[in-house]
Amino acid sequence: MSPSYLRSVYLRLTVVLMLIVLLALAVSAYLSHQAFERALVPEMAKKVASGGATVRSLIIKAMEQRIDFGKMYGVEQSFDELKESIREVSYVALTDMQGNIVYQRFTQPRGAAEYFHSPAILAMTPQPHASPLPVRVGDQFLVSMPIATAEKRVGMLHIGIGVDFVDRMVLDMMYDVLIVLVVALFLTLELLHFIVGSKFNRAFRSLDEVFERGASGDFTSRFSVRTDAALAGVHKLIEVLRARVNSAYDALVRDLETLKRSPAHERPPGLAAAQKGLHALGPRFRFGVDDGTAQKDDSQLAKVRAPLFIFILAEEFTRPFLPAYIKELLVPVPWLSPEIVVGLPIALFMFIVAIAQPSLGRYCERAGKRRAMLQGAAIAALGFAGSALAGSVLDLLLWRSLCAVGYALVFVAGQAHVLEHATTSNRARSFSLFIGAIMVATICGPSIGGILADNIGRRLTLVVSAVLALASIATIWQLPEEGLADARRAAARMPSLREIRGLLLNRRFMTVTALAAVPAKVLLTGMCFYLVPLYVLSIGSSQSVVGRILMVYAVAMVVLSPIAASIAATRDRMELLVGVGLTTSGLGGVLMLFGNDVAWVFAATLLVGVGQSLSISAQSALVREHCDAEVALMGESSVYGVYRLIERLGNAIGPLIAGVLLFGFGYRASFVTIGIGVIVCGLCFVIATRRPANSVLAPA
Amino acid sequence: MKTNRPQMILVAILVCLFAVGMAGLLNFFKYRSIAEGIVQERLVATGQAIEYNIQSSLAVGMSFSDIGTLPGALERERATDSLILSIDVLDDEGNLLYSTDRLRLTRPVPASWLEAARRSNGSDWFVRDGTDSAATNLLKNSFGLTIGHVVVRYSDDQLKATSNAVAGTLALQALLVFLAAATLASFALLGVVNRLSRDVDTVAAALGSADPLASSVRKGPFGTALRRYIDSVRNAETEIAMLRGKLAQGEKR
Repeated sequence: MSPSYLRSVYLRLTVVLMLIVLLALAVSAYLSHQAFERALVPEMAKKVASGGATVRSLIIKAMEQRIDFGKMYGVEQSFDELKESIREVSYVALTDMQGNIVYQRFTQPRGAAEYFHSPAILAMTPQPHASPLPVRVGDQFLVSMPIATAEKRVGMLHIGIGVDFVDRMVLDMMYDVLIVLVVALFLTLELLHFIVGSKFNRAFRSLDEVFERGASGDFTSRFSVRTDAALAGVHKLIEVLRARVNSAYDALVRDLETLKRSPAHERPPGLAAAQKGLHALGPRFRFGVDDGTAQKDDSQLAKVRAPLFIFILAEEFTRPFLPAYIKELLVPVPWLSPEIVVGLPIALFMFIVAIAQPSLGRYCERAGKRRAMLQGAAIAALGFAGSALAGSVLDLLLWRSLCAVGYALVFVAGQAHVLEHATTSNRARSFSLFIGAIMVATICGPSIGGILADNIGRRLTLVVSAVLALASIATIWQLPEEGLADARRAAARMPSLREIRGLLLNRRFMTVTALAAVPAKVLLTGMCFYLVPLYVLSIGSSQSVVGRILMVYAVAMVVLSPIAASIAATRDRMELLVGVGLTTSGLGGVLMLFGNDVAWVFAATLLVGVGQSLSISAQSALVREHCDAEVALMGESSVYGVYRLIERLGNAIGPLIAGVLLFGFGYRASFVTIGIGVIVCGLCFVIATRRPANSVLAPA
Repeated sequence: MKTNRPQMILVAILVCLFAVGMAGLLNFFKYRSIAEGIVQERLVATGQAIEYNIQSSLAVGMSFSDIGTLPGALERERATDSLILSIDVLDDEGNLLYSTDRLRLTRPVPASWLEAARRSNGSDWFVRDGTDSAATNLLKNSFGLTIGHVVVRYSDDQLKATSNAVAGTLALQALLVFLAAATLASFALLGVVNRLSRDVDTVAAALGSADPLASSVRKGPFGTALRRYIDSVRNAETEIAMLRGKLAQGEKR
C-alpha cells in the first residue's frame, strides 16, 4: 500500500505545485512584458531618432542644394542603411507638409496614412525641434521627426519599430524561464523529501508494517515502533483490536492452564482438543509481546540527501563558466601554453578528489561522518570564496584545491553515512538516494550557474556557491551524531602498492579500466567540462547556453542510466552495453565534424550523455565479473578501490588532453580527436572481451 | 497529517520564492542588458556620424589634429542627445585632441578610458564609470591602422535612475506574484494533505465502527491492507472462539 500510495501523494503535491509555479511564471512574464514596453519603447525611440538624424541631415543637405523634395535620388538607399544599422526598424517614410507619403520603404503599418494626415502630426510638422515620442500605429511604434531647413519646412520623417521587439525580448528569456521551471520541479521534490518526506515515510511505513504484521497473523505488541502523531488515532484503534485478540487468547490460555491443573475427573472432555487447537494456532498466529528486536530507523538515511544536494549544487554551479573564468585570470606560465593552463585547475581538482578519497575515508572513520562533512563543507566554502577573489590562475589553483579537498571529504563522508545506515535489504535503495542527490544537483547546477554567471558575473556566482556550501553546513548539522563505530564493519583499507601493481598488470582488469572507464572519464571532463564551455563562448554564445547543454547531459544520464542498469543483467549484455556506450559517446565528439553551431554541441553532448548512461553501470559491474579471482584474493573493496582511483585519474587527465589538442589543432579537431579516441577504445574493448559463441566446456 | 501543514506551507513558500525570485532577477537582468545595449548603440550611432566626418576630412588630405570644421560638428552632434555630456576625440596614444567641453582639453584623460582602450584589442570599447562613462568608435586610416578614438561621454546616473525605477516595478510585481502564488500553492498543498487526512480518518472511522469493511473503506487506498488485517483479526477471533466453544461443550457435558 504505502510505496505506491506515497508516490501518488508526492505526485499530486508536485503536480499541483508545478501548475501554480507555471501560472506564476506566466503572470510574471506578462507583467514584465508590460513593464519592458513602458520602459524600453521610449529608449528605442531615442535610438531610432538618433539614426534618423543622419537620414534627416542628408535630406536637409539635399534641400540646401535646392533639389526638389520629390525628386531626390538615393533616399530609399539611405532607408536601407538605416535598417542595416538599426535592425529593429520595420518601416521608414517621408511625408510632405500635407502628410502625403513621398518616399517609403519596408512594411507600412495599418492606419499609417490616416496617422500621417492626423491634425496632431500636421501640427508638429512646422516645429523642427519637436521631441520624437513613439506612437503606436497598427503593429508598429512610429517615431516622427520634422524635416526643416532654416528657410523651409519640408515634411516629416517617420520611422516604425515593430511592437514585437519586446515580445522577442521576452521570448529570448523563455529558455531561461523553462530552466527555472525544471529546476523548481526538482527543488520541489527535494524539499518534499527533506521537509516532509522522512515524516511521511516513517508514518506510513509504520502503519503499513502494523497492517502487514496483523494480516500475517502477528498480533504481538511492539514497544519500539515510533508512531507519527498524525496516525496515532489509527494506531490506537489498531492497538484496541490487537488487545482484544490478545486478551481473548490470554483468557483462553489462562482457562486451559486452570483446567489442566484441576483433577483429572473434573477436566472437560474437550480440553485435549482445545489444547491441540491452541498448539495449531502457533504456526499461524503470534500473540503477546514482541521480543523487541531493534528495528533500524532508516529515516536517518534520508537526512543525508539534502546536504549532499546543496553541497554538490554549489560545485555544479561552476561547470559552465569555470574554464572561461580561468582564461580571464590567465598569466604567462613558462613552458605551458594558455590552453593547457586553462585545463590545470580542473585537472588539479579532479586529481585531488581521486587521490584524497581513500585516505579521507579513513579520516572519516576516525573523526566521524558528520564532523567530516561539516569540515568538508567549510573548507569548500572557503575555496569558493577564495576562487571568487582570485587575482590570477596561480592563486585560483590553491583555492580550487581547497574546493577539491572539501568535495572529496563531503563525498566520502556522505557515502560512509549511507553505508552506516543502510541495511542489507535496502542498500541498493540507499545508494540510489545518494546518487539521486548528486544527479539532481548535476541537472540543476550548471543551468542555474550559467544563468547567474551571465547576469551577475562569474565572481558573484562563485560567492553564491560559497553561500550554498555554507548553507549545506546548516543541513549537515541536522545529521545524527554517530555512536561508536560498528565493530562488525571492516575498517576502510587503502589498497597496497603490491595490489595496485598486480591489478595494473592484470589484462582483464585493465581491459575494463583502461579501455572503458578511463576513456569515458576523459571524454566527460575533456569534452563536457573543458571544451564545451570554451567553445560555446568562442562562437559568441552565452554561459546560460553552456549550462543548458550540460543539463542535457545530466538529464540523459538520469533518464537512461536506470534503464541501462536494468538491461545489464548478464556479462554478455554488460560488455555489449559498454561497447555500444563508448562508441555512442565517442560519436558525440565526431559529430562536431558536421557542424559548428550550438545545436551541434547540444547534439554532441546529448550523445555523450546517452553513451555514458549506457556504459556506466555495466562498466562497474564488469569489474566484478572480470576479476573474480582478484576479488577472492584481495577483497572487493581493494579491487574497486583501485578501479575507482584509476577511473578518477581519467577525470584528471581529460582537461589536460583536451588542452593539448586545443593548442595543437583547434576546437573542432579536439572534439573529433577525443571522440575518435573513445570509439577506438570502445572497439578495442569489444574485441578484447569477445568470446567464441560456443565457449562452453566440452564434455569429458 | 494535520501536523505537517506548516511544513507544507514552507515547501510552497520556498518553491514559489525560488521560481518567482529567479524569474524576477532574470527579468531585471534582461531589461538592464537590453536597455544598456540600446543606449550604447544610440551613442555609437552618434559617434559614427563624427567618424564619417573625420574620415571625409582625412580623405581630402587634412591633418587629423587640425580639422577646423570638427569642433562645430562635434557640438552639433552633442546637442542632438540630452544624455551626452561631451564628445571627445583622442589620438591613438590617448591624447585628447578635440572636445566639446573645453575645460577637458586641459585635463588628463580618465584612467578607466585608457585601460579600456588598452584592453579593447582593436575594437570599440565601452566604460561604465559614473560621469566618465563612455561609448567609443575606433578611427582607422585607409590602411586599417588605428589613428584614434571618438569618445561619446555620458553620465550613467540617468541610466541608473531609469534602471532603478524599472527594478522597483519588477520587484513589486514579483512580490505580488510571489504572495499570490505562495498563498494559492499553500492552499492547494493543504488540499492534497487534507485529502490524505481524510483517507487516514476513513481508516480510523472504519476501525472504530461495527463494520470496518464497509464498501467506502474497501475502495480507498488503505482498503486492501485493512481488509487483510481485519480478515486476519476475524480469523484469529473465530479460531479462539471455536476453541473456547470446544472447551465449553465439554464443560456442559
